[in-house]
Amino acid sequence: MSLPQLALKQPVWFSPPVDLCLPFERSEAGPFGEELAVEIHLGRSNVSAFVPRSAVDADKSCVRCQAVGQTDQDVYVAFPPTSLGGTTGTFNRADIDAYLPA
Amino acid sequence: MPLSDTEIWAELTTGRLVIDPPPTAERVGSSSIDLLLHSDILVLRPSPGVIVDPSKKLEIMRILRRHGDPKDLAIGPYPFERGEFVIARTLERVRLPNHLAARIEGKSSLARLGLSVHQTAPTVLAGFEGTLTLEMHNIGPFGVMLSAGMPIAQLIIEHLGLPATKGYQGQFQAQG
Repeated sequence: MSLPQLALKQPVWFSPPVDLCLPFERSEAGPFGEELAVEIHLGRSNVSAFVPRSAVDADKSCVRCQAVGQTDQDVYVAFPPTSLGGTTGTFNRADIDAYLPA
Repeated sequence: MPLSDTEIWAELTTGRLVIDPPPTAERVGSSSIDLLLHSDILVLRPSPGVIVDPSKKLEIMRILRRHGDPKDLAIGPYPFERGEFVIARTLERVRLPNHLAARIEGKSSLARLGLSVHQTAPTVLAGFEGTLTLEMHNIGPFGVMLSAGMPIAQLIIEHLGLPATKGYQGQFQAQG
């Protein structure tokens, strides 16, 4: 008896990625100064990420990142890489929709 | 399959593979490129009882700041004592095109002194750009002197069967 195959579905990857600036609530500086961690809460989506300080728009209290792909339910967001690694966050589409271009 | 020195030079000279500052001829081996140690390192003090939750990045930053001692090797070499753990990075910035991936590995001469340069995370993804972070541990019997610019690791470049399609390369890559 063969096992049923899972319906694997590839995300749709954006080419090019879509530039975003997502608001963050809290941040914490790292030991090297040029990097920090931020916490983003959009609706039910909670994501924390390591980012370079240069990615933060202090005037708008938002962090620059890029939507890199999506599935039916989710949008994947890549944050600029740091020495502690790169972060990819998953946001519910309904939560992040307002920040994506129409 | 790892690239040979002939293929490495071909990728470098066409600019598809970028290593900055570029390696001198003696740093390119038969199938690897030697990378050098950056002057900024972070020595993490042993902290019994401190538990890190990897999902809480703000907390990680706080702990790294509280339990880490930044050192500047440009001021002087650092005696890396046995048992110590250090976060470091390569002097070189590396940019991989979508058809190449890489692994960073230790150098045999340092490995024989008990020095490891990564903790099970040697993979460099296709499309990556930035300096490479090293998680260094001295598990040998002696201290090892760390100096800015010393050969610390080697990069093995591998060719992908097909270029990666995942959107890894964005404008922010250059900031890492």
